[in-house]
Amino acid sequence: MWLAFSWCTASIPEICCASGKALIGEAAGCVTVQARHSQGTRLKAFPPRIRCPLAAFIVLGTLTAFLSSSAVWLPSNVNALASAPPNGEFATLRGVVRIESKIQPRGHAINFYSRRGGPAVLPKPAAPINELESVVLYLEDFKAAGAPFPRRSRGVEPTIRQVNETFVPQMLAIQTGETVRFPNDDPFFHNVFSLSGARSFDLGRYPKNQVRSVKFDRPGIVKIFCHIHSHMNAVVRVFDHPYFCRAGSDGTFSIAQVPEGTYTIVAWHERLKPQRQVIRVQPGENVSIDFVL
Amino acid sequence: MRRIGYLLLILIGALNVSATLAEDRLGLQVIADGIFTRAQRPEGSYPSADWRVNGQAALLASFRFTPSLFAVYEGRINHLEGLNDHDPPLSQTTTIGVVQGYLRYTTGLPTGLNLQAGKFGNPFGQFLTRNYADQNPLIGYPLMYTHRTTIRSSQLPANSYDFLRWQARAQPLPGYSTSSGTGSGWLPLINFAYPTGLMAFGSGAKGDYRFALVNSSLSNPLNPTRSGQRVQWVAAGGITPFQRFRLGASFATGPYLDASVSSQLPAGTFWRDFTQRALGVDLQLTLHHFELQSELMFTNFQVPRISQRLGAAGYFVELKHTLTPRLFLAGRWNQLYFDRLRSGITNGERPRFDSNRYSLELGVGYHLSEKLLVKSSYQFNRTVTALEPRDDVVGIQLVYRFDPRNLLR
Repeated sequence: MWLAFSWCTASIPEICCASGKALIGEAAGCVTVQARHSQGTRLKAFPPRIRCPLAAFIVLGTLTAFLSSSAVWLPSNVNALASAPPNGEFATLRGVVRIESKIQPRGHAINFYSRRGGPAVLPKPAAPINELESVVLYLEDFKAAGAPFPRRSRGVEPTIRQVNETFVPQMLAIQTGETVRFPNDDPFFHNVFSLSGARSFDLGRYPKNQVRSVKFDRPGIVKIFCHIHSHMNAVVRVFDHPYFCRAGSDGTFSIAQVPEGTYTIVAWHERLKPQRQVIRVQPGENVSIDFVL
Repeated sequence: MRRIGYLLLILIGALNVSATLAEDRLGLQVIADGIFTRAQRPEGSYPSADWRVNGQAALLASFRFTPSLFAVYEGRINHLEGLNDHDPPLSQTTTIGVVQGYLRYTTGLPTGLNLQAGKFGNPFGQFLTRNYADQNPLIGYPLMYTHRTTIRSSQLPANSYDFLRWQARAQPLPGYSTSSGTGSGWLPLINFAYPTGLMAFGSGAKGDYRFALVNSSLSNPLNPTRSGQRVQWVAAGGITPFQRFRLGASFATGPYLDASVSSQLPAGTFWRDFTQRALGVDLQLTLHHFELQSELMFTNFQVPRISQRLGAAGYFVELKHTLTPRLFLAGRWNQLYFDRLRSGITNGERPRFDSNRYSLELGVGYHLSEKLLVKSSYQFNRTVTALEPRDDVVGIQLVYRFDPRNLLR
């Protein structure tokens, strides 16, 4: 039974990568310790052949519930390849992005009339957005050599919330075939829509605590808006390969499991000129690339 | 001179805006639209139809000084020719003006109390909050906001017969004399009013409230620089039992005549003695891609030399259905009813002081992009008289909404 716990604790960090590793590793460790403490006496009532799978079931169930509820604060670049641990056939691209260009600030909400049926108070001023978290790093024009691209394992469904008349996060990077959730956390209607060529949709008006979802099947840039609040906007970048990530709050990024080859890696921000670098990837090496936008 | 003053105000506003472009505290939008209509003119008129052009550009800016205090500015440039003969605008020229300019303070109290001072949208009713072309699903506006009735702010009737003569104000129909139909001061039941004054408003979990003290009436708003300021009270509120449904009510009362009519008034009366009262009910219902909006209004006017208060009722029901992310359909049914004159007509008839009207507008809208919208609609307009004159309108409208800062990048 304890082997099962030890196995869980040891393998969880390997699922994560980059800056997500520490956070999830710590959290998972904490959950495991609590589970061990609270379940131990009761589990003794079961025979050993039942205890082991039961313990594994409890730990995995707790972990799944924990991950499901922690979608918002998961680090941005946790969504790197998770299909297999690093091995000698692949390389990992790491680096740091810095923003030195001036970025046009986003305007705030304009409520020109006293609202009918909505909250009279102004939405709270949004906390300053860390624009580094809106930078997406990806390999350009990546072509699969025969086999289909591996699927990314995210653990939780990608989510864009509507909070204080703001989309959170305002930038999301996903792989084709993924479904994005759009929960409404505001006590009034939102109407999320997009007219982008890669995916156009209109989710209609829906109230607080309701969630609508959209599946993205085509690669491209999908700009998201709200019909009711014209100042709200977000971007979903959809890739047909798994070699992309968002930069972390400190600008660090990591793209794992990159096969051998020569690639163009792009640092992209919605309101800045994209930067490109050509890199040569050798099996088993760590490639370091830095960008200044 | 006044236009130059307005232009200066807009320029000053634009300069302030430019100075703060780098600030995150600024909200900035431009809404521009152009309408091309072909109106069928009443029978007997020549030509039988005509093309009209209406255009408007609004610059909306808001600036947040602190999390609780912000300022709003809205300037507009209009070119209005009216959609048809029956509802001509007061001025068929290009105008520039400051529509809104006020300071708003959010108190942070649990009731969500906000205090506002300056020039702002009248809190009566609901349609004003979505009068911009990208929020109005049709080209036209509700009839009770546009139909100019026979009650006038700048000219008084000598007797009840004047109302009958004035019904021909914009209808060059056989049997009507148009000579007395000219002039100004034709009042809508409710105008797109932006008076100047003070307002307190807020909302709780299931309700909202508004209370305003402003300088002019619903039907005849005034700029603060004009003479003849008149105090108007407006109170309004609503309940939202669930987010898909809201029911609101509004009340307003105050004088509506221009001070210039003083010389025409009966002895012993003052122009501020004559009031307009209005009671409105509005509702909104939303179900997924389907929206229903409706307003009902009862209003009456106290008119010099007329023994009764002249009342009118109007309502509209508007539906919008979004078919695809780009395409939507909309329709609006309007009706107006006017009181009968109970005295002053010698042959025993009791004619109405204005002809009842009804209107149906059906339209379609298509989002060419997030910022660009094209709409087309057809208005069936009918005036309930013996001649039932048709003044239908078909039109197309292009709307562009954008943040001008994006053009500077």
